[in-house]
Amino acid sequence: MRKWRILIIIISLTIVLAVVSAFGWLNYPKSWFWKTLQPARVVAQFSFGKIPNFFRDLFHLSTIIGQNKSLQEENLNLQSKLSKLQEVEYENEILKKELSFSRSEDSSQMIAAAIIGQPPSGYLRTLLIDKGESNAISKGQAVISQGFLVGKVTKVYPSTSEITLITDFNSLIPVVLQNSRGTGLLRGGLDGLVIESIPLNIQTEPQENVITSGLGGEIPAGIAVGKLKKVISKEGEIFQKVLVASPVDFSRLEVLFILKRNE
Amino acid sequence: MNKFFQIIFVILIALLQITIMPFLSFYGVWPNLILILVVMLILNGFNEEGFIAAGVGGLVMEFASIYFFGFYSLVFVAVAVILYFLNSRFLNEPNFYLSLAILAIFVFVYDGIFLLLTPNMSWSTIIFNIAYSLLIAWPTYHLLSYYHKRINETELTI
Repeated sequence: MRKWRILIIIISLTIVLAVVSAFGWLNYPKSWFWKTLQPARVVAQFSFGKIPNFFRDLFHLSTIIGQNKSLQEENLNLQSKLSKLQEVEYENEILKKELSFSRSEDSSQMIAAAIIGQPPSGYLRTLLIDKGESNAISKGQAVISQGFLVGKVTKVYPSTSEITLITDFNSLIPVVLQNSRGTGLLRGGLDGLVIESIPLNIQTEPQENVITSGLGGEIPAGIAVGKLKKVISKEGEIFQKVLVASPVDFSRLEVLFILKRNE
Repeated sequence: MNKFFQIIFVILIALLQITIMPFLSFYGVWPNLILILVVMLILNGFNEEGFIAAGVGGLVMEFASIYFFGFYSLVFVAVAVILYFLNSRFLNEPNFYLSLAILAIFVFVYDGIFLLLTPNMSWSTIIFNIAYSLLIAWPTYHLLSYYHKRINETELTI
């Protein structure tokens, strides 16, 4: 009899709280709940968070050594390119002055945000950040880490916001392949980042950059997403499908930047 | 065990699920400790404790949930009720391998719900989650079994 009494109390309490939640009255307690848990989460991230990464790194040690070698080569290559670009920038500035161009101001502004929560189940790749409506965060804004697009704001609470990562199954971002100019929709999933709906007449290039196309108006154009890894579409399909590699490790995200667009 | 300590214990497990488990994920998967606890408690004969774990654990997880309020509570309570009837009608004694098999089925069903809510989710994730859950359920079952035996011995002595 006692166990049924417990069950009735629990179900009644759930129904009452579900009704309260439907009116949005639990948004503040939910926000407060995450804020309270943030210190514990930070401690967990810097202690337990290292365990799976350690095993993963150990497992991929040979790959890491190879990657390190190629990154060193790429770094040298980029350094030489950078010095050339600095020279070009200098020339560009001089030419602009000569032609009386005024330097256009950056149309966007970044807001740094810390991750304070993740949903209890790992199937949806969503995160909770410590910035919300009070920090001028609004739905649809792009979220960046290390200069690459990692997600977009999907829900905004008074002092927190929910972010859906581009690796989420439900995430759809309009992108463009920088060299071949093929447009498509970037989708997350267990297979990784996949661009769907690329027209068949587009000749994709290996390792070409993938950037946001700006279609739809939510996410600005030109944000780097990653590089084309390989074409995975099968014969007979009416569109091409390609796999994209992002340099961002989505399991190690710490600080995110919200791209706030100027009105 | 005192009811108050039971509730505190379940809250701690739920908080562990929310704060630590996401960092112990392998290939993006981490098991649900509350589900494991509910299944193992009821299959070891701790029915009342199982119901408390389902209700309290579910309610704590609602605050971290992105689904409608009541989702976790209802799922865990439903799991507890189904297991209670299954245990009282068909299972006489706690059985380790049977408990693991039942847990695997419940994890499969629980993940199946997420599969319905999440298009494009792979079935291989579920298999991986079942394996991870069984790994955690192994010591949980033995701890509860040991506790069960201790209670029985104490009752016999009295």
